[in-house]
Amino acid sequence: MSYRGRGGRRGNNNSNGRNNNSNINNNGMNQDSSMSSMTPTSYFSNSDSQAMVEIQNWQGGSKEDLINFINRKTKARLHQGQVSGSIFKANVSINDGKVLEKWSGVKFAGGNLTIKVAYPSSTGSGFSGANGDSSTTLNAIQILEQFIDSRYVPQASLLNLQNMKGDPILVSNNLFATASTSSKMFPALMKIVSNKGIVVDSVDLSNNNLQEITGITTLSQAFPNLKNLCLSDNQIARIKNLDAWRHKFPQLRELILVNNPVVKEPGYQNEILKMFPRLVMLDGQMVRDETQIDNLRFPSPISQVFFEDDEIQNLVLGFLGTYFDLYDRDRTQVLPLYDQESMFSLSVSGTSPRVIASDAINAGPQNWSPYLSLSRNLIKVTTANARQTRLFTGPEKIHSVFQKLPATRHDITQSEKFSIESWRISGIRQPGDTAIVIVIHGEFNELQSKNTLRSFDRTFVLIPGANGSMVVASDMLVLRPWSGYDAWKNTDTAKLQQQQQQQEQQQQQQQNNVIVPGAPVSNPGSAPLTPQSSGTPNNIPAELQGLNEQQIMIVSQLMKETNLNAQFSRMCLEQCGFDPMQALHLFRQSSEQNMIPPEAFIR
Amino acid sequence: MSAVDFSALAEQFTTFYYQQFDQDRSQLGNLYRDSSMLTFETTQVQGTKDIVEKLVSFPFQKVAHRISTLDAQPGSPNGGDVIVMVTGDLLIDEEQNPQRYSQVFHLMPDGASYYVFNDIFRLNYSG
Repeated sequence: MSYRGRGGRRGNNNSNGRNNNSNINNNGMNQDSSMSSMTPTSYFSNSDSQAMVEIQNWQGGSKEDLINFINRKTKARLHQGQVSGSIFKANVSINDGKVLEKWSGVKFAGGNLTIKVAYPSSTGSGFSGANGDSSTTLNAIQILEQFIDSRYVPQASLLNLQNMKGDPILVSNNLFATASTSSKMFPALMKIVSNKGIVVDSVDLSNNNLQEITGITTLSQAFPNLKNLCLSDNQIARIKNLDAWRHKFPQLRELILVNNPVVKEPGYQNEILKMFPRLVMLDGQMVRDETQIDNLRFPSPISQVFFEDDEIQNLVLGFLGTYFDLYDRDRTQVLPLYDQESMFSLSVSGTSPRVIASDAINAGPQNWSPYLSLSRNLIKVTTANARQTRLFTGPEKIHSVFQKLPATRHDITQSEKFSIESWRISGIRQPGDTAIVIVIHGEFNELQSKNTLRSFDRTFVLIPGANGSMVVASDMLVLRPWSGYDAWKNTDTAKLQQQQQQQEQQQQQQQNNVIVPGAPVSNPGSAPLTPQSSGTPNNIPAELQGLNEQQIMIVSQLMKETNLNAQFSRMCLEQCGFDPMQALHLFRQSSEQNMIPPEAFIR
Repeated sequence: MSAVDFSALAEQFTTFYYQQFDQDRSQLGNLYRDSSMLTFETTQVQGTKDIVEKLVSFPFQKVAHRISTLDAQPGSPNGGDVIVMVTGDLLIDEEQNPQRYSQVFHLMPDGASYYVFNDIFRLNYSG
């Protein structure tokens, strides 16, 4: 494997400003703003003189803009402002709350703010009221708090909300008395529970006679980082009934839907996997192998200067090994690596003539039809619409295009067949964060009725996700007819020789570093075939002078397979009109009859 | 999504870059900065001066690039950088058989224009 990190040995040269920010990175990176709803700031534990304001539809501007705006416009003073999902929450005095309520609908940053104020006691009409009666409001909150306390299992971070209609606390207080009270109950419950500051990893909503999730959608705002959700023994009939939660639980690991009609819907598992990209267990069955994905950690912090190259090299090789293993086995397995802003596109170069394959390698028929309708080659695809639709963004679209691509096998254990470059950059999604760009060249087998070998180039941009996980921000794939790997397979040998030559002949250094047109270095014993400055390949070994590029390639191939030296390989091929198959046959025939002299072989 | 049409940018950039390369590659310096890096096959050089020196040192007199595939993605939703991936043919001097190459440019915005932050070139041989 030829691997080059940006900077190579000159670690100090990586300090080009953008790369040195990893100290800054780690603030903000691990801090998921949606987690703030988990911090123990309970409005209800505050003094009675406080009201709580919730503002929505403000996200045209920043949080700071909003606070300044409110302060300027209303003179109300916001305390302990925090963002939870799309909602900005803060504490205000009762009087300020009453002022603020009147400003609901005011224009801010291109939208109209929705301002709601909740009061702790019988002072106003908060969000919780079953019928607006103030004493009922207070009671309802107290009842729900009591209910939550009775249902929360702190050791398991579990909120057990199963069979709520049979709950003695709720029933005895008539919270299910009318359709109106029951429909308001769940949103109120969610607000209260998210303000309690309790840690909830798991929610059990089984046996609630749910037909859809309209009444309980706010669960995703209260617990955006929920890991386990049980919805068994309900009446959810269609996948679309769950649509409001699509991509809303980015950390959801386990989902249980058994004993719902929806499990019989065609494509059930596939659709659910698309909705919840990190799902591992569905209905008690493992649907993704999370261990491999979880092993892909973004380094934090990325160490600087001297050890950087090793660290990134290990990371990159580890990533590629895991990635292609999963990608080849079942592409849904790599979806957790793609988030809503991730992009994938591919382009096909089907026109280049491929290397004449020897009998050892059957490159197979070149049928590009499965790829062409997906290709975003900007040379060919000129309409804005096609360019847009063929840039697949988000796990759902990436999933559907991955399903359309033929099954593959990337054998990256055969490291000589791949070439990898990587480098670091910062500021990909947030100022100061660090990302890693990988460019890999290599080949894969297309597993159809007959194996087809293709070459590819692929660029990945990796960024850190939540909690040190890894996200593929960009993924660009180029597919080409198979062209072998002569171009880089002897890189290390070539490098060594180059270094020796450099020591001996510093003057020639520049010429030895240059592009190597046409002549693959196929024989580890031979010197790299490097052109001299005239541009004509007149430093090609004397044995190969006068041959064209294609012929030199075929000679190299035969040398590799037979261990014949250049001179005899050429002789053999010339007798066969440069047909590699025939030449190989002739070689074997002659070899069996002991007609090849020892000097014909590479020492 | 960036307001820049990154696809059009990629087309303009590659057209200009290869035209300039084929006409007079010693003039490519203003597309690079001192933080830029060129990875050309197995060698890496950094900085405008070294990169131009490297490009000029190539032993051919005449060269022509022909693009086979071009694709681009915004490097970041807001940052304005663009990743451009090219494969194509390289016709050198009087040679009739083209070399196949693949090249990745990472373009960074710099005021009103862009510069090449990373340039990764690989020959693929007669692909």
